[in-house]
Order: sequence, then C-alpha cells, then structure tokens
Amino acid sequence: MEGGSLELGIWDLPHDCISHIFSLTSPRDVCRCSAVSSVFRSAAESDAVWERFLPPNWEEIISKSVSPVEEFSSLRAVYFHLCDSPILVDGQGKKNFALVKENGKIYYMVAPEDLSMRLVCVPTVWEGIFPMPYAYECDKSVISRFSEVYDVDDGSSSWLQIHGRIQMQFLSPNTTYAAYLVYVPRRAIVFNHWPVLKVAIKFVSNGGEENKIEVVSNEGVYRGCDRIDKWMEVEVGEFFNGGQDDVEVEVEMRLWEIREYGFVCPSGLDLQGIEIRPKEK
Amino acid sequence: MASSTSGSSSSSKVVKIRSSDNENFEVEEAAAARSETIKKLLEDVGDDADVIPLPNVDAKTLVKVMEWCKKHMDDVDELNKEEMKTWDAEFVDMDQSCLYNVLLAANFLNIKELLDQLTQKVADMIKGKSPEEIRATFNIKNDFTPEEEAEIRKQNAWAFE
Repeated sequence: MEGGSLELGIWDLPHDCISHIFSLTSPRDVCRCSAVSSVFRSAAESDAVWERFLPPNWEEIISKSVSPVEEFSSLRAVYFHLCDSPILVDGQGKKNFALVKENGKIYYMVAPEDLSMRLVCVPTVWEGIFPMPYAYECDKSVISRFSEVYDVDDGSSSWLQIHGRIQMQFLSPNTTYAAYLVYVPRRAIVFNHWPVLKVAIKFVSNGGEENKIEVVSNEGVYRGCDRIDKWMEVEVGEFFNGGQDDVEVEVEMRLWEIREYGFVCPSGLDLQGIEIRPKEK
Repeated sequence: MASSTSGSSSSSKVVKIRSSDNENFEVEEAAAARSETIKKLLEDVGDDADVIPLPNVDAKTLVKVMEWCKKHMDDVDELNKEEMKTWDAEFVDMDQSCLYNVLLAANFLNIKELLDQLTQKVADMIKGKSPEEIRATFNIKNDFTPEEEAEIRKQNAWAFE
C-alpha cells in the first residue's frame, strides 16, 4: 500500500478545521499564528476561534453595560475590548467586568457602593499612639472606573469592616480566584513609604453541605503593590469556584492600618473596591 | 486484499468497505460503526449492503482509521484507561502528511473522538512557538511583506512580550 495517500500540508485542511485547531491553543498562541502567513492570519482572526475564548455569557455581560458599548466588527474585537477596557455592569449592584488576556477568564471588581461597610470602634485595640482613622465619604477628586470612590479617613477610630457578595455564576468555573483590595493611601508616611495594611478576610458560601465551596480564612499584614492604573492592591485571600451556578460567596473583610514608626500618623485611604481575579499559576 | 483479523469476537458481523483506490476491506461492524457516516449508511441500506464505497478515503489512510476504530470498538473500563491513553498518544504520533490525511478522513467519516485527538495533536504542535518556529514546523512560506508582518506584530504586541 505504498504511495496511496496524497502528500498533504496543514494548508490543505479546511479553513474551519484550522480555526478549530487554533481554538485548542491559547489567545497568545493564536495572536502569534496571525503573523505566520495570510492563511493562518485569516483563520486566527475568525469568529470561530474567539468564540471559544469568550465566556459563554459575554453577550449578557455586555447587554448590562451601564455605558453604551460600541458595535464590534468581530468576536476578536469583543475579546480585546473586554480585556483592555473593563465594563461597568449594573445588574445586582455595580460590578466591573473584564477578561484576563492570557486565558479569557472573567475577573470583576465589586464597587464600594455595593459593599456594605461598617466602622467598628473599639478604642482598646489601637495599635499605635493615634486612633485609627476610617470613615467613608465620596471623594470625586480621585479618578476611578467607578463613579465614586470611598474615602476612608476621619480620624475617629478603629477598623473598617467590609461585606460583599460574589455570585459564582458570573465567574469562570473550575478556577481559583484571589480577592484583592484596591485602594490608594492618602499620603505617604515618609517620602515614598506607604502604610502597611492589616487585613482579616473570610469567605463564607451560602451553599448547603452538598455544594459547599472551598473557603479560606486569612489574616495577615500586607504592603500594597502598584498597579498599572495608579491604584495599589493587596491580595488578601483566595477561593475555588467549582462551577455551581446558584452559589453566592460572602466576603467579610476587616481592615487596619498599621503604624510602623510608632509616632507616624496613619494616612487613611481611598477604596476602589474588591477585585476578584483568577489566580495566576 | 486486507481483511480484519477478528480475534475473540469472531462471530460478530462483518461489513465490507471500499477505499477511493478501490481496495476492499472487511471490518467488524462494531468497529466500522464508530464512524457515524458508515453507521448511517448501514442503517439506510440495511442487510442488502454489498460494499460501502468511501470515495474520499484512500487505502493507506483507511487502514489507519480502522486500526483506531478497532481499538476503540468496546467501552474502556477504568483499568485500561491509562493503557488506552498511551496507545492513543502513540497512534497520533505520525508524520504530518499522514496526520492530515487521517484527520480529513476522520472528518468525512464523522468519528468525533478521533478527530478531537488529531486536532489536539496539531494544536500541541503550535503551542508556545514563535511565528518562525511555527513556519519551520509546518513548512509554511511567509507570504507577508516585511511591512505587513511588522504591522501584524505591532497589533499583537502583547503576544510577543
């Protein structure tokens, strides 16, 4: 049975088939493929590929956008729009949706107005000389993706307690998510030295025993990292989303600022929200 | 003429299929029916079937496809899953021309599981490579002008970081 078959190359496969093969790689691989040749480029830019990378409910997410979303020329354009410019969705409270470019997984941010916050005054737990200053009022001067930013500073007392709810159906299934507190300190303590935060976080799922979600409690002291958007963030805990639709996770967070140099006045901070992102491996 | 060695299930029904280059094969029906296309043809013609012609698949490719179908004829129990995985990995390890012939045949014969394995194999050959490496792997000619290529790389700059 020698020589019975035609000599074939990858270009002999139907266009649909090449698109399907591309959709089994990753967004990064597909973008590299578009620089290979014109045949590869046209397959790499086809909707069939990018449909696989978009979350199944992307149309629902876009339809809930608070500001009008432009018409898209292709699903590839939708994908990169959702990666590069998070959209503010008003469904059950305000949430900011975006996709992680590398894998198309959803991340979102819960805005302060959608978090219930309470100031807990326990003067006896002061850790420094000065009382801990936390309160909330709007500060329009700070630029944020949300219309309002919460200012946490009135010189009164102790710790800030934050509650938020996360609906699992809006997150990518079978993914470990981390929660990040996104904020900006009001002023540096010494030059570029930013205050350290102490955070205690607890995730509690509302599911019964059978669909209990893996939860993590955490307490630690964190120094924020700079983000590309001029805010700072600290990773404060993680949980695993197994993909049950009806499960809601409640986040409870307590926040303290810690004085590192005894006499230094705490800075207070502007809180943008809690960001829920897939954890990088 | 190649014919199937039927082994333990010698009593099972045998069907005849013919390749595009007019070679006839006798295959156990259970194996041939892994192909949705053949299964449907068999249902349509019933027992009157003489030889089922497959005008899109040559003999060499058909032998490969039927080798896979015979291996996947029965449901695999947990114990043999690992063994089957190893067998599948070795099966798709073939030269590219052969790979695409089998892939097109699996598409025409509508054998989803085989098609999935083959497309995944090609996808794995793409993953993590630069455009130059992809061209070398698949022997693809770069038909962009330097300006066009620079523009595409600019549009997708993040992927080249």
